[in-house]
Amino acid sequence: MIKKILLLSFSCIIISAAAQNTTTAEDTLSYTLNEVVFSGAKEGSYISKIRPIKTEVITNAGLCKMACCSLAESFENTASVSVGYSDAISGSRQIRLLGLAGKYTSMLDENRPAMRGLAAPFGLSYIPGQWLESIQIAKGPGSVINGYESIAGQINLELRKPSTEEPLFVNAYIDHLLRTELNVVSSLQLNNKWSTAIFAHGSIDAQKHDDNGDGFMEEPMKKQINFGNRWLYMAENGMQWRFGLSGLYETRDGGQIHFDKQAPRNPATNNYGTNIDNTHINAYSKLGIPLNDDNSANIAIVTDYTYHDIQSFFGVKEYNGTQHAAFLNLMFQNIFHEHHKFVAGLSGQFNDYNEKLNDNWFDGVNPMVQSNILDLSRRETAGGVYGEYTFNRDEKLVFITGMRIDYNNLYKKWLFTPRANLKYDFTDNIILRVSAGRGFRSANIIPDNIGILATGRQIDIADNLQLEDAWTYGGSLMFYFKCFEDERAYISLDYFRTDFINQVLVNQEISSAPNLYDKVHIYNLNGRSFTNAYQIDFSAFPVERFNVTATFRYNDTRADLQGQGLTELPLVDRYKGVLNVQYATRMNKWVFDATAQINGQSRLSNFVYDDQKDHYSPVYPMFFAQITRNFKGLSIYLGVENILNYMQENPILSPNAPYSYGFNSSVIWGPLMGRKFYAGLRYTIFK
Amino acid sequence: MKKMGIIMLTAVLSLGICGKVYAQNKNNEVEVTFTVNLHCEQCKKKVMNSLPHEKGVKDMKADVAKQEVWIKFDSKKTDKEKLQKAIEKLGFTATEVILEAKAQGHAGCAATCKKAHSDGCSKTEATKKSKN
Repeated sequence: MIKKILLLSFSCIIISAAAQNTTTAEDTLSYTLNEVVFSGAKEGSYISKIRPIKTEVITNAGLCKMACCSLAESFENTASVSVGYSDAISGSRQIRLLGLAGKYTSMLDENRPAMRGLAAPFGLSYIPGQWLESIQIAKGPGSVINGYESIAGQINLELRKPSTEEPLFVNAYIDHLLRTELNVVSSLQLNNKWSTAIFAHGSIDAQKHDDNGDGFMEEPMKKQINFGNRWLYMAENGMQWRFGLSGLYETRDGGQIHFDKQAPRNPATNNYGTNIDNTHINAYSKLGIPLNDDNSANIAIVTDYTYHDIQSFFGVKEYNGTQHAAFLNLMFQNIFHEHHKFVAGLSGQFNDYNEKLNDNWFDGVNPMVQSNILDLSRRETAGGVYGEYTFNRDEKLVFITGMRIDYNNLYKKWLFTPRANLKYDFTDNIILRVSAGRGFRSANIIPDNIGILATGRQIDIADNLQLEDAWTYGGSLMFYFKCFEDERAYISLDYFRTDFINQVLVNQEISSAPNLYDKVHIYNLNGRSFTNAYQIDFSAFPVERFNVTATFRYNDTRADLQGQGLTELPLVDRYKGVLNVQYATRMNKWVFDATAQINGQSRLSNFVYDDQKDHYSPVYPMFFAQITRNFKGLSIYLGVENILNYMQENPILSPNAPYSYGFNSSVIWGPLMGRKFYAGLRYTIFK
Repeated sequence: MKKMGIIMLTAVLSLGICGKVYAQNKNNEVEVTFTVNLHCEQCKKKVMNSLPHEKGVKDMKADVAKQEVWIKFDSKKTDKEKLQKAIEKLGFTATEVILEAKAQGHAGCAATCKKAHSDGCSKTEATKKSKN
């Protein structure tokens, strides 16, 4: 019996730590793990004590600290992840982890790859914040089980579960710009074996806003309808089957306030406008089968299919594409000894892209529009085998090492991906984590850089683009200590470095002639590219029901840019600090949250400034506040974002000449939207 | 000077009244700890969503690891039996810890918070005795 318990707890820790794809054991054990974590955890967000990989967890309580309408907004409380706009037209939000663009972070939906390919540019708006149970941000290359793509880290999303005994959850939201949103989640346990969760979301943002008077909407008008249905079957022998289906349709209309969508898109007669329509369908199945009574050996089969369609135009540029993506993972796990475990498997991805860019621009000489049709269609299959061994000595010392070997048919290359993670508890209060590993990814030129479509430039893509290839290594040191009434306050120190062997660079700073910047150049790195990321976190409950978290992060991101040598990458903030305080009255009847951010300077692109101007964006603060009143089954919240109403000045270059090559809305370093007041309610019926 | 005297007298009286009211409230506050079969955070959420809004409940905490729910309540407005029923109505079993505490010499006392541990048990025990 004791052996069984040991095996179960061992596997739950390791399984979750490795953040691998689900198995029968995993889901049961992750659940057990969550109990362990959360019962002693900081509410809101905290750094996991037991995971070998440095993991910051944003809990449901943390997601309720702000409006968190979408996944993008859920990261405002953490300095680990920066969220910015990719351009001032489309409303696309992009994250940065370890100073690297979001494309280098694997997004996972309950440990299945998500928001990949064509879904990436707007993917952060596809998961409503109120659908989420928690978010886990793991830094470093992670486990090989999830594939070879993760370079900066992994962000895993846990949605509300079918097993959660909440037959009805309703969230309604409105802000003073009249964005309205409705989320409904229903978790139903049909019997001892079957349970299901139904998710629904509808949001509308139908008002045009141009507060800075440049003639362009700061955010596009948006409509989204989103539906999901997840099922869980738990057999008496421990077998679990999870499957689900989801669908989404979103439309965005932006550009100049006076753009007439119904009229012909003739630059001579109509204003500049954009329309982006996305349709997304996903189906998945995760089957876990125990091979023995104590579940120490099991197999798992994970399959996932995604269809995405994007139809868009940005002024005279048109971009349309469809993607069929399939993912398969077959995994065998065996805990063959109290201290030893191995996982082995086969996994692969198939992507069929049908992608076309009608790249139109005006060169300033010829009055006629210039045109170049780029067919970016391709079929990419990558698959291979992996193995991972874990040594765990009483949870004090955990060492995970793994390797995978894949073949990518598009690049005709064998890929060797070694990774290792170590956690060592010097004492119960001092914990060291170290990780190192390699990652690859194939660039999706337009989806990765959707902001370049919101420029007047010609897009020049080199024809020999290679796989992106990087090593990431680093670690963290955590200290737990007593801070007034809190026995487990902590400080965490991080350092991670990423070195690119190859990177696909997007460079707008190459001039065709003196002071003529009319192209976006996309090419392979020639030289060095690296990022150093330093971070310090502090969290404590010095007084009962009073929580303070403070984080500061510094990045040094440089690359050899054509014509400039080794240079700081433009529009990457050097640092960010976040201070969050929360006070709750007895029994959380009233909850007060306040967040302050300091956002560091970013290097501006060289075509933005002249010698008289500063070459860096200004440092700017941001403040957020929210009050929540909890009643029986009902929470009502009121809040304000960007209290100081700070907005980036002139986010669009040449707004008066949107059909010129000087037009550029992709030079974004600050907020586009000003102060926002919002109110919402959450209503829950418990079983 | 006369005015000052009146003001001071009023202030002293006000403080006295406030003090009396506070003392009375304090006297009515009783603490109880139940062993409750909380399996997970969801169970805790369910309890925390409901019990704070029961009549007379002044403060409460739920601890999944210890499977305990500690409640401070106004004895004029509710009693332990009603609170126990309120927990049971949520689908849990609830047993007052005091019975175990007597047998185990406070070993089962709620350690949900230091306050409950330091003075809660004696109060609860005293209340139990007085009721019996």
